[in-house]
Amino acid sequence: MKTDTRQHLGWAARFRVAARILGLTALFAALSGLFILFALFHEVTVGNIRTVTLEGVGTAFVAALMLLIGASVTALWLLFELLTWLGGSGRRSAAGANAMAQVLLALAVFVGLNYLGFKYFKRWDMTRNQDFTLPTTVADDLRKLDAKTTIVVLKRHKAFGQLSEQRTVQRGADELDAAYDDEAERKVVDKVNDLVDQFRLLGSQFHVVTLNFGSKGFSKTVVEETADRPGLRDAIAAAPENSIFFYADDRVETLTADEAHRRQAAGRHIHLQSQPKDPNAVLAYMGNIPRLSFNEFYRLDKTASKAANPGPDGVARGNLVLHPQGVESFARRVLAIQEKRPKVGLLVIHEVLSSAPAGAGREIFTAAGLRRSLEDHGFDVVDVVVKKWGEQGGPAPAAYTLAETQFERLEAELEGYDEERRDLQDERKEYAEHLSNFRDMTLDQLTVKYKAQFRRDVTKEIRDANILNLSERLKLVDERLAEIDAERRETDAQLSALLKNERAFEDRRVTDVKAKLTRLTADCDMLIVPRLTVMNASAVEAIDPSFYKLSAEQVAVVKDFMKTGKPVLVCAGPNAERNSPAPTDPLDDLERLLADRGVQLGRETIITNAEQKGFAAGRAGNQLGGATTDLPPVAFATPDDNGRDNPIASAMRATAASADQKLDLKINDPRPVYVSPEMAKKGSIKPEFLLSPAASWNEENPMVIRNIGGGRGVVIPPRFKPTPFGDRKKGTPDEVRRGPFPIGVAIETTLPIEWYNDEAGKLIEAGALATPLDGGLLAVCLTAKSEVAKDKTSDKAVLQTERKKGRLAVIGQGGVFTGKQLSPAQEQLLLHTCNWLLNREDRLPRTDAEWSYPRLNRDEKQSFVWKFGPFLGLPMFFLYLGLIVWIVRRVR
Amino acid sequence: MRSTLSLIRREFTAYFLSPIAYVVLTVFLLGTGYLYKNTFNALTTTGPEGVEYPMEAILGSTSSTMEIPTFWLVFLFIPPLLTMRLFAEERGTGTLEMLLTAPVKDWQIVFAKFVACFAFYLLMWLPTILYLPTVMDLHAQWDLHAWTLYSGVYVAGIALAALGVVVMPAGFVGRGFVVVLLGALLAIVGGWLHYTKDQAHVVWITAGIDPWPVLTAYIGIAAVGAMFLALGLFISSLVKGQMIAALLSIALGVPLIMSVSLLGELDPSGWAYPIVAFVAVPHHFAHDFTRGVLDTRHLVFYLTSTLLLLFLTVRSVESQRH
Repeated sequence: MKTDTRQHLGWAARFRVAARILGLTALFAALSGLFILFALFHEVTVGNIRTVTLEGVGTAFVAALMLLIGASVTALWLLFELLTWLGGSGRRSAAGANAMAQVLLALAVFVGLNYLGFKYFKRWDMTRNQDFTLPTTVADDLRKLDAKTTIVVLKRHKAFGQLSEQRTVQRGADELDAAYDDEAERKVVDKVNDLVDQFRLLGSQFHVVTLNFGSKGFSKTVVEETADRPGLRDAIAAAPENSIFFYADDRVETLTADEAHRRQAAGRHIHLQSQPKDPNAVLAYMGNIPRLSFNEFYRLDKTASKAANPGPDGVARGNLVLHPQGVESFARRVLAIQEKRPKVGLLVIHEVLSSAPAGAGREIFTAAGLRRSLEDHGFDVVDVVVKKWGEQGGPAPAAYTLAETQFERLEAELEGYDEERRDLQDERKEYAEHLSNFRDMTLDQLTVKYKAQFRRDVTKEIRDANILNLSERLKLVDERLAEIDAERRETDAQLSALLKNERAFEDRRVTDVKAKLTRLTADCDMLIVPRLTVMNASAVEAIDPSFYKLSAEQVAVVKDFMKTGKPVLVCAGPNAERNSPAPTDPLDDLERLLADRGVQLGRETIITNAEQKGFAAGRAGNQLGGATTDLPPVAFATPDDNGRDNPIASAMRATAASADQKLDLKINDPRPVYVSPEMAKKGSIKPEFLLSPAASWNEENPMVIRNIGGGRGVVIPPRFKPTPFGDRKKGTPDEVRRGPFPIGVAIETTLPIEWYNDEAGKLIEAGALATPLDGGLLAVCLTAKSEVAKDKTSDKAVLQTERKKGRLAVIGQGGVFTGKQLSPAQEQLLLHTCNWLLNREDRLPRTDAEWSYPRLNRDEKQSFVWKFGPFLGLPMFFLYLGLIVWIVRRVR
Repeated sequence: MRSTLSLIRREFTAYFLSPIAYVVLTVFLLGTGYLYKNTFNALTTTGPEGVEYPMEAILGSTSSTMEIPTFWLVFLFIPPLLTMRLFAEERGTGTLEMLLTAPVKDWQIVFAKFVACFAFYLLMWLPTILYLPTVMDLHAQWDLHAWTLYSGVYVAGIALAALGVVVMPAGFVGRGFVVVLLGALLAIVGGWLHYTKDQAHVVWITAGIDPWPVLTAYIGIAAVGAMFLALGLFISSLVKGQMIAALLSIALGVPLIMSVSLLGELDPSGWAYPIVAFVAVPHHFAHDFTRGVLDTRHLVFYLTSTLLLLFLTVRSVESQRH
């Protein structure tokens, strides 16, 4: 009787079972090998596998073998199985093979359809506001982009640069504010990822990295992500606030160190990074690493956030309110990754007033803070000094860069070292000679030689004492010579480094001020002309306005600069001098140039009521040292009756709302700045953006010191005396009245016709003369004539096409952007003004669009019903039904 | 056709006679209800936090310790529980042979079981309509003087559909279902005419929150449900034990759900990311369906997978004959 119930297999069946076990084992071995290779290289490529296989040692080699052998055996096994099916002769095998063929065909169809579906797909954005659809223009531009771009999202935990620092200092850690910042950060990161996903759909290659400052692993990630990206680490380190960086990976190239330095010396903007593997090569990235602040993408509005979502009781419960700044600004950074940084030229009259790092005691004059703020926000700054000092008869017109002055200083230093060296060597020679005499000569010989000097015979003691003395002197001279050599070497190195910047010295030998100033300002995108005059009227601190007078040829350069349509920011303080009212005539042609464009600088100085304290302190004996005055902040203009707003003022208001802080901008003793009524009417924007405090008046003579004898003087405080009725000043800008006064204006106008057409000025004058007689008819005709130019080729009359539109901003105080570091309000004003002047409206905060989380407005009762009804009510209902069914079924 | 309908009716009715369906419904609604409650809290919270797309919060929110959305961890178990008995039970109890010898084709059997199962799945989602007033922030303005013929048809249709739902648990499943369909049809036609032809409306509903993402989320839920049910059906056709069928279905569903956790590790510009993203179902929802985007890639994947799995099921059932 057969008791063994086990199934006995034939040799063929045993072989098949063994093949299956082997095949399955091989498959798992191949997968394990793949896993290990992936763990080692993060990316498995044919190249990687080939390399490790050829190396022949290590874990990677074993993994590669597992993968290769495993995959080969698996393939053989599958082939064997297929042949078995195909070669089977039984009916069942035939049916199985048929079924398998159908299954394989179905699988192929499945894979094919999905491949096609993956390649040619369609997305329907069904959201109400088309949240996931790019504007057509942006999409079209992005389709052309085929470069690989890395986008670094840096959560710096600072929403508004210096404004964030101010909050920490002034208010301490405000948890609620921090919660709004944190949530805004989180949301912006989400929005960036969403947007980049949309970009990817257009075929662009993007690598997004999110860096969370202060989190675990931050430094490691920065090191990893910046290892092959020169300049990126510095850019991240310098970011003042939450930022997004755009980096064109394809633009990184490997250069020899010499080639890199040659390019650098040629003045090309290049970031270098050494390569640990090859000391002779460097990674180079030429150009710009654009940075987008979170606020330039989605601007948090804290004021609106806190006031949002009023409950049934009317109390605001808060929501996150962001102002989308448009995907265009983001896309533009990606597309314009090669765009050059805007260059701002700063025309100063002295190095002390330049943007170079300030020395001690010069903080109130320096524009170093201006440079720092502008450079932090993607601008380049170049100083141009327009006066040469130390000449007879006061400063003379000039044009030179700081590099040139530095060069001259270093050259002078070298000369000094050489002179000192020569003197010391003479001295040394003399000492050496005497020492040699004292050592080699006999006492008698020494007496003959030095008797006149010692007035007695030279004894052994005298000889020894002199040998000692001369040896010490020689030693000191040698030490000093060594010091000079070291200092000279250092200076020489500095000079050599400076000379590498060929661009800065190209024009060194040019003596024509106009030509040189033109060349120095040619590659600037905008100019800033600061005139720091009255700094503190109560303390009688001021710089003589006459120092700032530009020569006619220098003004001509500024005019030509404007004629190309480039913008200018003039920060001109009052022309007041001690003990005399400001002159009625403009200080120089620059002020006349501004008048041509419709901007009139007021003569007076605006004194606030609060400054009276300072004057009182001065009068009370604190001679020429006014007490610290707490000035009221200036105001940012609001829209006029026609709804016209000033973009800079609007941006400042939006920034204040965003940070939920008052932007307290305090400006000492400005002058009024007016725009002619005709010009004000013409513009599409309201010209005024800065207003003095209301509690102020315009004073003609703010700095009066009465001599009280003995070389002492006392400050006479100015008093408000309104212009009486009947005075010829009444109704004019010179009328003494209470504030507020416009102290900052911005205009965009077509440049005056007479700047392009020499005859136009005469025609306009003629028209003006005839106006009382013809009611302005001739003026109109002549203006029309002046607008017409002769076409060079056809000789026909055509409309003037040369005339450009230009932007101009004028602030009535030269010290509005001075200091080692700008205050948050100063920084924001500077950035908004520069961005507007440079037509970079996309960088100004927009408040027209608003985004916030959806909120339900339910009272307590409704909330309870709608929360717990669906949550617990529904399951309970079906549980009840289930129990009923169960009970009924048990009965049946 | 008649035989197919009979099969569908039989399978569909079977769900209501089995306590397991109610257990599934209860557990499912508890799970989604919990996520709904969290979403409700987020929509009524104070301070800066909130949710932009409520359906994303329900279907896509993750816990602080888990990268996989909570909903999908619950969902992973639902289709296997619905499909595990479809073939495995028949095979276990020996009724499969009877079914195979009946005058119906294999594809009809598979189709009927799938349709019944899918209908129950859709019915399972029906109660979540109660979430809509919250996730869409619906507001209704009533005008009870605006009765017209069309509005009468509209309301009657809704009442009929509700009646159908009510009678189904009482044993009239097939008829109840037909009544629901009829009621829904009447409501749609009447409602359409009422809102396009009549000047005044009985009820005017406005949505404070974008309703389209809710609609696309439901479309996605239906499509992905079909795929997972087809997978469960296929597995059920292969094995004898219901528990084994459920466990295998869960195991095969895991890569489709859990692969989303790999996405965080991969470089989006690399080659592996698009492949993983292509099959990671929670990613499709977090990224597209719950945010109002319909992407043909996901729909093609779900549809073709469903068809392939149903085809494999037919082949599997066919192999039982040999």
